[in-house]
Amino acid sequence: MSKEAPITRRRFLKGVAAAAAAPCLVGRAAWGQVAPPSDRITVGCIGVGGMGSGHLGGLLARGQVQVVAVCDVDTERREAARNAVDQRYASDRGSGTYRGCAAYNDFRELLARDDIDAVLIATPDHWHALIAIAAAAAGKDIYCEKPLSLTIAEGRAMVNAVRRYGRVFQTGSQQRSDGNFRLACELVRSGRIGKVQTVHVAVGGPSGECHLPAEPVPPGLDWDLWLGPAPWRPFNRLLHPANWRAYRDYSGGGMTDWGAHHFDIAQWGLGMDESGPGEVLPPDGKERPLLTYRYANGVRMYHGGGPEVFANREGNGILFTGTEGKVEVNRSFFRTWPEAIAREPLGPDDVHLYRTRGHNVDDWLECIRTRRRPVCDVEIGHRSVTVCHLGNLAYWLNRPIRWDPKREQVVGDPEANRWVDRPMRAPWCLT
Amino acid sequence: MRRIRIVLMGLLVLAGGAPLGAAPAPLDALLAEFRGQAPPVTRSASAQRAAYAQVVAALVARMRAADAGQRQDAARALEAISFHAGRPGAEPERAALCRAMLAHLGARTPLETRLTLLTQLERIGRGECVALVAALLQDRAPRVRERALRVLQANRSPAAGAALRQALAQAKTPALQVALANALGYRREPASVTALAKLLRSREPAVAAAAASALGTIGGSRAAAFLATIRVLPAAQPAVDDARARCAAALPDAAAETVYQALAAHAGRPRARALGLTGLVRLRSPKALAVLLDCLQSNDRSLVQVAAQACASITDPALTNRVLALYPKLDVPTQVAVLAALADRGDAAALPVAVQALESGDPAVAAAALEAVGTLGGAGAVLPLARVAATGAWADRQAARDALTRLRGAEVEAALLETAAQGPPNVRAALMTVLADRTMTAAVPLLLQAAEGDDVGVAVEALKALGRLGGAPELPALAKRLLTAPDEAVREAAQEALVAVASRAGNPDQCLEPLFAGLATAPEDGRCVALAVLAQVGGRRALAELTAATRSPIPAVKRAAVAALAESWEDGAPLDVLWNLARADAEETGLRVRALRGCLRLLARETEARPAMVVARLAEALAIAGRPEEKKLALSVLRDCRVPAAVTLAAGCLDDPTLAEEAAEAVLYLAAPRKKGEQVQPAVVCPETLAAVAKVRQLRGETLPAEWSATDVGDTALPGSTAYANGTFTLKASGWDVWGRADGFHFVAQLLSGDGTIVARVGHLTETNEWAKAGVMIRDTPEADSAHAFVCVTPKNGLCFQRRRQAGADSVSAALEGKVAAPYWVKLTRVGDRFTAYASADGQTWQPVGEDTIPMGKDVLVGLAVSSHDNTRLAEASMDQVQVTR
Repeated sequence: MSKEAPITRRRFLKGVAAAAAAPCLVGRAAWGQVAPPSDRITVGCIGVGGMGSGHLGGLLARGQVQVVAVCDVDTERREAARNAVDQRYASDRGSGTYRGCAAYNDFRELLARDDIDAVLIATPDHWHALIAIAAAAAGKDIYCEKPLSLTIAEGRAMVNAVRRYGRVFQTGSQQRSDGNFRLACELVRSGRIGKVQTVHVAVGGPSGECHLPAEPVPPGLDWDLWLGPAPWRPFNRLLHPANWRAYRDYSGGGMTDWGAHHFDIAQWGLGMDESGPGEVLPPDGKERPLLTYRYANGVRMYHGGGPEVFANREGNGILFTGTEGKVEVNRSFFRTWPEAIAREPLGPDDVHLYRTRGHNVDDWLECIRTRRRPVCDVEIGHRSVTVCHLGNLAYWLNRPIRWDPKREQVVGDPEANRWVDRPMRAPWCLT
Repeated sequence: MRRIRIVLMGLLVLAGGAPLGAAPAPLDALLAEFRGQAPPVTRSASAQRAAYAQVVAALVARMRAADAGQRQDAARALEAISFHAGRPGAEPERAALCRAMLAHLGARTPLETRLTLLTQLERIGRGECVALVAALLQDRAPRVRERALRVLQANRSPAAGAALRQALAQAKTPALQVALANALGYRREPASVTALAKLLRSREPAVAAAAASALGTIGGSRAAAFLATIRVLPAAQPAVDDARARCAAALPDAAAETVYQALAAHAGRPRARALGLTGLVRLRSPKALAVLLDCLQSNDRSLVQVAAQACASITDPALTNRVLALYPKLDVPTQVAVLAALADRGDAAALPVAVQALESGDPAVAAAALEAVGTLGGAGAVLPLARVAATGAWADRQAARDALTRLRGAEVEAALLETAAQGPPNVRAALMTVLADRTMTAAVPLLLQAAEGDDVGVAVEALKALGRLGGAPELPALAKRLLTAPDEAVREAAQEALVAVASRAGNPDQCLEPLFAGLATAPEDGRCVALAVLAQVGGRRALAELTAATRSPIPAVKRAAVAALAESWEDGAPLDVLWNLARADAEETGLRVRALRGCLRLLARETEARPAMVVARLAEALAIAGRPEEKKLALSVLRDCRVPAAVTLAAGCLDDPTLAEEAAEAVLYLAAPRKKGEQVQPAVVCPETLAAVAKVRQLRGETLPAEWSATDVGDTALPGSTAYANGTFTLKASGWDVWGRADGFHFVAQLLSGDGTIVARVGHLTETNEWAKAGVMIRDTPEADSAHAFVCVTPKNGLCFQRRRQAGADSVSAALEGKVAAPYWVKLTRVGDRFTAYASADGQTWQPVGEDTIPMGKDVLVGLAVSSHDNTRLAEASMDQVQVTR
C-alpha cells in the first residue's frame, strides 16, 4: 500500500530519514531459556577478503549482531578480521580488552559450534554451495554473497538443503533492497510500459580456462583448502587474493559477478523468480550481434548493448522496453520514457514488490527473527545466476542452448548438459 | 570445384610454411573447420579420424613449445575444437576427436598436456574413453589420477560406472573410497547401490558418510532401505539422516512419510528432527502438527525456529489453537516468530492472542504483535490498533496507523466509525488521522461533529482530517468553528483546514463567503485568525476586506490585517496599501516595520519583471527604514535586480558601516553572472559596476584578480577564503568532501563559456584527512549537487579524476596509477560534453587520468577547488601556474 512518487533527491533523503526512524521489529529482548548468554544474533563470517571484510564492518556496526568467529584460509586476512572484531567490541565496551572472536582456517570447525546462529559467506564462488549446504545442515541461517553458485546443480542443491533444514537464506544481490531497482520492476510488472518486449542487461563477459604458471604458495595461505572442490592446480598470485573471477574453475566471470545483480533485476522485473529463459543464443556476428535469451512468453533479453541502447553513461544496467514505454535503471541512474510513467504513483491494484527495511543484511536479520523468506531468497539467487550460467554456456560452446527451466536440464544437447553439474575434487561432494 | 579447392589449399600450405609432419591436409584449414569457423568438408570415416589425429598431434606438439603463449593458444584451440565436436548431431566427429586425444595420454606426454587432454575428455568423452582412462586411475601422477576420475565420473557411458565400481572394489585407502563413492553418487546409477551400501559399514566415518551421501543422491527405495537399516558410526549419522531425507524427497508420499516420521522421532538429534518436520510439512502430512508442537518445545534453538516457521505452512485448522496453547510458555524470539507465522497463515483465530501480545512488556513481541494484528485484520483489530495508535511508542503509533489504514472490509469501516465516535478521547483523536488516510468521505459528518466537540485534542485532529477530506459544503462549519472557538489550538486547526479546503474548492470569493458573513459579529480573536485565512486564500473580496481592516480602530484587528497582508498575500496587489503604512507618517513603529517587510517581500517577487520599479522602491525603503535589519533585507532584494541602478544603489551603501558587508555582497553578486536553473543571468556590466567592485575589493583588502570570485559550495561548516599573491592562490577550505550526491568545499572560479582548459600546479595541501582534496574543477552550477569534473590531489590517496555526471547523482572516480602527492600538476579540458583529465609531475609531460562525457550548460564555472574532508577544520592548499584558456 505504499504510495510511490517520482524519485527526487529530496524524496530520497526523506526516505532515508523515514527508514532510520522505522521501527526495529525486535529490540534487545531477552531470548529466554534456549538463548545463548547474549541477546544478539551470533554470526560467523566465512571468507573475510574484499566483500567479506566489508560485510564484517557492517555487521560490527549493527547492535543486534555479535560476530563471534571469522574464518579464512589466508592467515593474514583471518587475523586482521579477528583483530578488527576484538578491537571494535573492546572499544564498544569502553575497556581495552575483548578477546571474544575466534578465528578458523577450516569452516567446518566454525560450523560445528552450537553457539553460532548464522553465517555470512563471502568466499570465492566455487566454495559457496558446499559451505552454504553444510551451514544449513548445521542449523545455521545464511547470508551468501552473489553469485550464488558456480554451477546450476550447486544452486539447486543449495535450495534443497535450505528447505530441508528450514533455514533463512539471503543472497547478496542487494539491488533488491534498493528503491530505484524495485520501482523499476514495479513499473514494469504493473504494465506501465505495456507488454514487455525486450530487456537489455549490460554486464561483463564470461570466464575462461586457467593456464597460469605455478608459483610458490605464500606463507600463511592454505592453498589446498582455497582450492577445495576445484581441480587441483598450483598456486599463482593472479588467483589469490584477487582475479580468480577470470577462471571457470572458480567463477563465471563478469557475467555472473555483475550478472547476479543486473540479470537478477531483469528476472524480478519479468516475474521469473521461479523460472527462467527457454533458449539462449550466442551472438553470431551477423543479424544477432548480442547474446540473446528467449523466454517462453516471447520476451527477448540481450546481454550488452552500447550507447545506442543505454541512456546511462556507464554502459551498465538494465533497460526494459515495452509496447508503451521504457524503464532504464542502474545504481546511479533511473529514467522512464515517457517520463510520466514514474510520476504517477503506484495504486493499490498495481504490483507492489517486497520492500525491505534498510540493506539486504537488515532484511536478512529481520527474517532470521520472523522466519520469513528474505527479499533475495535462495531460490531467487539460484534462478538469477542460472541465467548467467546459461549465458556463459552459450558463449563457451558457441551454440544455441535450449533450457527446460522446470527440470533444469539442457534439452537435446547431452554434452552441453554436462555443464549443469561438474565433478568436485574429493573429498568434497555436492549433497 | 573440389580439385580447385585442393590446389588452392596446397598453395596455402606452401605460402604458410612447412606443414607439420606428413599432413594430408593443411592444418589451419582443418583447425578452422573443426572450430566451426569454416564449412565442414565431407570425408570418409577413416579420413575424418585421420584429420582429427593430425590436428590433435599438431596441437599436442605445440603444447611443448617453449613460449607459454603458444602453449596456451594450442590448449585454447583444442578446447574450441572439443566444444564444437561435442555439438548435437556430430557423433562421428566427437568420437574421432576423443580417440585422437586418447592416443596422447601416455606417460611420455608432458603432464600439463595430459591434463589438458583429460579436461576435454571430461567434457565430451563417452564409451570410447573408459578402458584407457580407467587405467589412469593408477597413474603415478596424482593430478592425472584426479582428472581421470573426473573423466569417468562425468562420462555418460554405463561402462564408466562399471569401471568406477570395479575400482571401488579394489580401493584400499579411505581417501580413494571416498572419492569413488562421491563419483558413483554423482552418476546416480541404481547399479551402484549395493556397492555403496557395503561401504556404509566402513569403520572410517568419512567413508561411511560419503557412501550415505552417494546413496542419498542416487535415491530410490533400495537406497532408502539400506540407509534405514544399516547401523553406521555415530560420526556418519548426520550424513545418513541427510541422505534419508533426500531419498524420501523422491519416494511416494506414504513411503516418504514413514522416513520423515522416523527422522522426527530421534529425540537426541535435532537436525534429524528438523529434516523430519520439514519433510512432513512438505507432504502436508496430518502427522506434521504433532511433530511441530513437539519441536516447538525443544531445547534446540535452531529446531524451534524450524517449528515456528512451519506454523505458517501447515494448513490443519487445529494448528492455531494448539500453538496458542503453548504460546505463553515460549521464549521471546519464538513468540516473535510464531506471531509472524500465524499472521502469514491468516487465521483470524490468532487475533485475540496477537491483541493480547500488544500489551507485552517486551518491545520485540509487541512489535511482532502489532504487525500480526494488522495482517489478521478484521473489525476486531480496530480498537486494539487504535489504542496503540493513541498511546504506543512513537514508532509503534506510526505502525499502528499504517495497519489501520491497510485494513479492508465494510465491517472494518463500520468499526472505525464507531470507535472514532464513541472511543476514549485519545483513541478518537488518533483515529481522525486514520479516517483521512483512508480517504473515508463517509466519515465527514462524524468529523464535523467531533470538530464541534469539547475535547480539544479530538477537535484539532478532526479539523486536520477535515482539511484533507472536506469540500465546499464543509466550509460554513469550518468558518463557524474558526470564528467562534474559544481555544487557540482549535482556531489554528480550523484555519489550516479552511485554507486547505478553500484552496481546493476554487473561487475564493465564494469559498470565503461564510467568513465574510460572520466576520463583523465574530469575537476579536476569531476575527484576527479569519483575516489570516483571507490573506492565505486570496481573492478580490478578501483584499478589500483586509484593506479595510488595516484601517480598523481596533488595534489587534489592524495588526492582524497588516500581518496577514505582509506575510501571506501572494501577489503584489497590496503593495500600495502596505507602502503607505510603512511610510514614516504611520503612527506605530511595529506596524511600520511589519508593513515595510511585507513590501520588501512583495518587491522580491517583482525583481525580474520590473527591476527598475523595484530599485526605485528599494531606494525609498532604504531611506525610510529605521532599522538596519530592514535595510539589509532591502539590499538582499536589490541584488536580484540585475540593472545598473541596482549597482549604484548598493555601492551607495558601502560607506555605511552597518550595511557595508551586505552592500558588498550585493555588488559582487550583481557583478558576476549567475546561473538560475537552466538560464544564465549575465553580469550587470557598466562603468558603475567596475568602480563598485574595485571599491569592494579595496574595502576588503582583497587582491584576487578581477575575473575570479571565491565562494563556499554546499556543506561547509567553517567559512573558506582565497588569497592571491604573486601568481599563487592560497585557499582555506572546510567542507565534508567533494563526493557522493552533494559536495562541500571552497571554490575560486570564473565563468567559462563553451570549450576550455584549466591548468594548475597543486603546491601543497594540509592533511586534514587522507581524503582532503585540492585541484581544478569545471562545474555546471554553484549548487552543492551540481554535475562537475574535478582533477584533484589528495594527501594519502594519490591523484583522482572525479566527476558527477548529472545533478544529484553519485560521484564516480578514477585514480592515477601510483600514489602521487603534491606538488603535482593537474589539467582539465572541456570539449563539448567531453571532459579529459591529465596529470603531470613537471607541467611538461602530461599523462591522461581519464575522460568522461558529462552534459553541462554552455556557461560553466572553471576554477580551483579545495575540501578539507573534515568539517571541523580548515585545509590550506596553495596552487600556482594557474591558466584558464578558452
